[in-house]
Amino acid sequence: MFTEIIKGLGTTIKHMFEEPITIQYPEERKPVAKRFKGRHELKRYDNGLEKCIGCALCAAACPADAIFVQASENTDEQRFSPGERHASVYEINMLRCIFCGYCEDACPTQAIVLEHDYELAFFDRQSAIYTKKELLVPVPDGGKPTPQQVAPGSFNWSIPPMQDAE
Amino acid sequence: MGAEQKLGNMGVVTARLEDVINWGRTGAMWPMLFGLACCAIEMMASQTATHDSSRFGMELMRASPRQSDLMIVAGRVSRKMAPVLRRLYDQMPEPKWVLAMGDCASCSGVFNNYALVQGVDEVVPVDVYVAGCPPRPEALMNGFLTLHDKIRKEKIGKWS
Amino acid sequence: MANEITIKIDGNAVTVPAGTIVVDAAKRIGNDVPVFCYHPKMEPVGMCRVCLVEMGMPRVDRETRQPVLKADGTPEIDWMPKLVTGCTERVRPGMEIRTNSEKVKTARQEILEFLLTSHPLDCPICDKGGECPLQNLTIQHGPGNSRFLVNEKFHLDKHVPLGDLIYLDRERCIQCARCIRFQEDLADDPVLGFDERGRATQIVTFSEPGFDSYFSGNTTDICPVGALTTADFRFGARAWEMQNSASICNACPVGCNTHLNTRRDGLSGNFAIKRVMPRQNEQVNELWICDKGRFGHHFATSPDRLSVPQIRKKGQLVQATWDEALSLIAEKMQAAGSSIAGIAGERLANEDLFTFRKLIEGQGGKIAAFPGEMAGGDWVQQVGIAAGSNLSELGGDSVIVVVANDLEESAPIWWMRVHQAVEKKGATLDKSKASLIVLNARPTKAEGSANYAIHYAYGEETATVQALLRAAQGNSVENETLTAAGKAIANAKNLVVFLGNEGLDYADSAALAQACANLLIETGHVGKPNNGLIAVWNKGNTQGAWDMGLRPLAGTTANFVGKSKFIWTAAADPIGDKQTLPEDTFLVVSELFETATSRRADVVLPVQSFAEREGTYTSGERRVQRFYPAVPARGESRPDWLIFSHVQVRVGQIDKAPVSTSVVFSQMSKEISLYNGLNYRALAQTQEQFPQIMGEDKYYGGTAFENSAGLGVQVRTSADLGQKPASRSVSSRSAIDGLTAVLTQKLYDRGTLLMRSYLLHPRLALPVAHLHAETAAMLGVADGEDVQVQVAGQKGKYTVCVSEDTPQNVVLLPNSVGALNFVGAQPAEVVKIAETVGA
Repeated sequence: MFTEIIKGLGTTIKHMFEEPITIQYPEERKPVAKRFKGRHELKRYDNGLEKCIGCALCAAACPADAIFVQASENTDEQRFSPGERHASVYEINMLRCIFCGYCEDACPTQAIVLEHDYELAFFDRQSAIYTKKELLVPVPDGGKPTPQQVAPGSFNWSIPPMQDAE
Repeated sequence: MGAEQKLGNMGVVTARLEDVINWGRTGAMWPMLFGLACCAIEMMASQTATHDSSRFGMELMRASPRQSDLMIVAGRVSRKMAPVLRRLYDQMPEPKWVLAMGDCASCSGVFNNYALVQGVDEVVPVDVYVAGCPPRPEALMNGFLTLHDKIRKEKIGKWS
Repeated sequence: MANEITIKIDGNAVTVPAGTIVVDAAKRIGNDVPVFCYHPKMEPVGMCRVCLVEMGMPRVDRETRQPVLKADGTPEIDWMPKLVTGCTERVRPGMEIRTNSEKVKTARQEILEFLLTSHPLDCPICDKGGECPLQNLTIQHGPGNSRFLVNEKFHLDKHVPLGDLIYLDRERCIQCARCIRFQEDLADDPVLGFDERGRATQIVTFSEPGFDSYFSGNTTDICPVGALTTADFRFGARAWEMQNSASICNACPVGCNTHLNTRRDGLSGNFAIKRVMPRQNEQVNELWICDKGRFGHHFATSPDRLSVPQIRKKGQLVQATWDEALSLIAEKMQAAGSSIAGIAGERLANEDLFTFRKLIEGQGGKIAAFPGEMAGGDWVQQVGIAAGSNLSELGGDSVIVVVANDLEESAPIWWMRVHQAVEKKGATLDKSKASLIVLNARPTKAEGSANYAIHYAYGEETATVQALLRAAQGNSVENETLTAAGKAIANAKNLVVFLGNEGLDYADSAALAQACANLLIETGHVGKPNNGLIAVWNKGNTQGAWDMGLRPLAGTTANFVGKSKFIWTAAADPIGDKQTLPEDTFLVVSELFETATSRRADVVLPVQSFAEREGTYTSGERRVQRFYPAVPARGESRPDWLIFSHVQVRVGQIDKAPVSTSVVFSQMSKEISLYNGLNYRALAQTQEQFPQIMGEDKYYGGTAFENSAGLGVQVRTSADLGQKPASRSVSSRSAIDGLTAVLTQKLYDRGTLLMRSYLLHPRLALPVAHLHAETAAMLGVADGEDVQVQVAGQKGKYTVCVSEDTPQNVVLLPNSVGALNFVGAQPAEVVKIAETVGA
């Protein structure tokens, strides 16, 4: 019995000299897994055009009905995305979203990606609805913000090819 | 401000009563155990050594509403559970806060059906909603910090 | 039936009428043979070849002429070596069909693979995506893979406007020619055609303006791919995202069954009607609606709708609560005693009209329907087209008479169905053609298909119909065509008369209605299906107003209201229609929009549009049909019937306002004898219709919607109920001397409601005065000049259009387009506007 007590205390003492395992959140953050599904981002091509073509397949795939997309037509004067159509309204209700990633799977242009931000706390439900402004990533270096004015006929495919347009 | 600096030299600190009390409240908040579903697992994880929510003064998860300040609703609330939730909330002493953890508690998330309360704000006033299905412990702690922000801004006149 | 044939499809026997197409026969036993180019309403052409099936006939012994039997007694079948198109093959006795063999499956796969070679596969952004026959059939029958390379697809223009309303995507087109055939055979507007050859084949329009047809929207429904899309709905929403509510179009008296597809608008946050789609009702509109019904709905969700009650205080209309407004109305109403007048617009629902009449007459006041330019509702109640009629049943033993109206402009879908009865260009087993008699003062589109077209001078309408009756009775009349037309009527089994009021004032219109009723009664065409009178009203629910006991406001509004101390106008704008109201009355207006009358009013009440509420309309064929709410009510607006009921409560007529329209309707059906026994449940009943367009097989009927919300009930006329209507003598008058002005109906007029559909603005009728060349020369005006037309004390500026189609000594003006508003044929003065002094 005595040995057991010593053994137990030994474990305690061993742990006393170990580094504390507590992660000092928020100062220190544990890196998330590479494929962690956090808050969505709407991606852009290198030239700044939005990848989203407003097809609303993400909204169709969403099991929680968290996504609302309303599309409009692109013109060469006001071009948002390479195809014929772009999302004029794009809303995701973060409180409805279950971060399943079906929207990512459904997206034909890989425009929507679930990134690694998980700090989503809100004071009211309205502010949990992220609009296109919040979801869209900043314009990459060398790109132009949308809407862009482009030369007529530069984009005549209804759906852009998957890779970045030159 | 001048007085603070001078008195500080004498080992006295002055501050507004609001700030002091709000600071006190943020630093010693005892959450009530209200795990209803999968979110509760993550809530428990936030109490473990890895995440250790006692760093925020949340030493204990109290099973009794009489001893807690913060109700963490972790999980979907069925219509049958709703009166119980409200009763426990009513039994909590003032001041008290409610944190809706996860999609189901916030707005019933993926379950858009008759059996579940479509967001616990139908039943109790919610201070902070935390998104996630379920939110990871860090996300929950981010919710705590958000709540702290809110408490720090509370005014003396609003105290009940 | 003697003419029925039994064939075997995949071993299952099916009995169908002779002449049925194989795919239709298969459809009847639930076997969906895929089709693209075939449409059940149109004659097959066999262009797409996706309906390939194996066909076999019994082997016949050449000597005995008897079928060769197998050992088990079944006939030996000779299968054809190659596949046949199921859509062009008609059933024959003993025929056997295989729709599921390996040979057929392979053929389908190859056809689909071939159709997809040039298809851009842009389903994610295609408006048809989700309800696309090509998508569905590719998934069901197509190959998983293509041997053609995506990068070698042939690219064509993606954004070709065919006119203002329809866009063509050339890549997506699979050249099925459904749209071309629809326009040629059914709509009678052959404005589309194929151009070029091979892979570059494309649809072109050769009208100016492009795709100039009132039925153009239907081509987008029947397009089996997303090649044709409407400008209104282009990229508006995905098919699966919208909520559907059944509704009834109230733009004209046809009463087309529609579906309102609604969705939240992300920019404004309000619910928007994204598109209007036809709902199948084989007795009313089949699978079609006209473009006015499809694109003219924007008023319902217009931002300038009235949304709060207003009361005039110190000369200004200020916002008020419903309680204040209704109390004030009740107080003023009681103070006015029986000196009350109600003016009801003819676009109100039956429940509104009924409650309004109860309210006004309960107080001892008088009520009339506005504008009330046309008579004949009483005759429609007696000798109207009999219950159980269907215009598509009219065949070789039928005569259709169109009197004093331009059917295509007033009621496009009726014109389409009459055209089909007369020409039989669409798919139908009965190919015998009905005869069409068109009586009008000027050539109209209907004349193109008419067997007998008779022109009279304005003013001689009644006399002409009387002459037609004399001719039908075997007398010979001066006009040979009339004599022949009369003979046709005498030999006809069925007779349908479409009555209009072009160039007629109320008294003349009543005389013409009487003459038409006499024609039907004397020739014995009353009280049996497919016979009777159809009034082509200018507003949607005029027949409902008649049935609810309202009489048209004949004559001037000032005469009607007299010295009334209290006037209530609902959905009517007398001041905007150049009428006057006395200054010293208390005027209440319940309206959707601010109008000339509402600016004068003491109380303005916002009402709900048809899209926000429930109710019933009665069509020109007396079919009572229900419409359902689709979008939330705008602001504080309330339905008309509820407003009237609340006032009824406040003036002490009733204790409690009815809780719903169905309660009003049940009360109505008790009091109105024609509607006895009707209730909401009866109106919501449906039955199986052919073509069956339910489920996933959008390819069969286009994107039209299955009718699950009710076919409505065609109420019986008194002739149907066995009463013998008696013809009455009618006096006719002769033509007017001198220059006469006549208002003609235009589908795209400039009414308050249609003006909110900005899409249609380029197509709206222009203020043009049509003159015959000789008349123009006599007046000293030329084509394109601006003239001032003066009629009945009003003056308006119009542009002259010289056309041979206009009768001499007549100036034709479009209704509700220019500044003039009058009824009947009126003496006119046309003065050339002198070149402005400064110029």
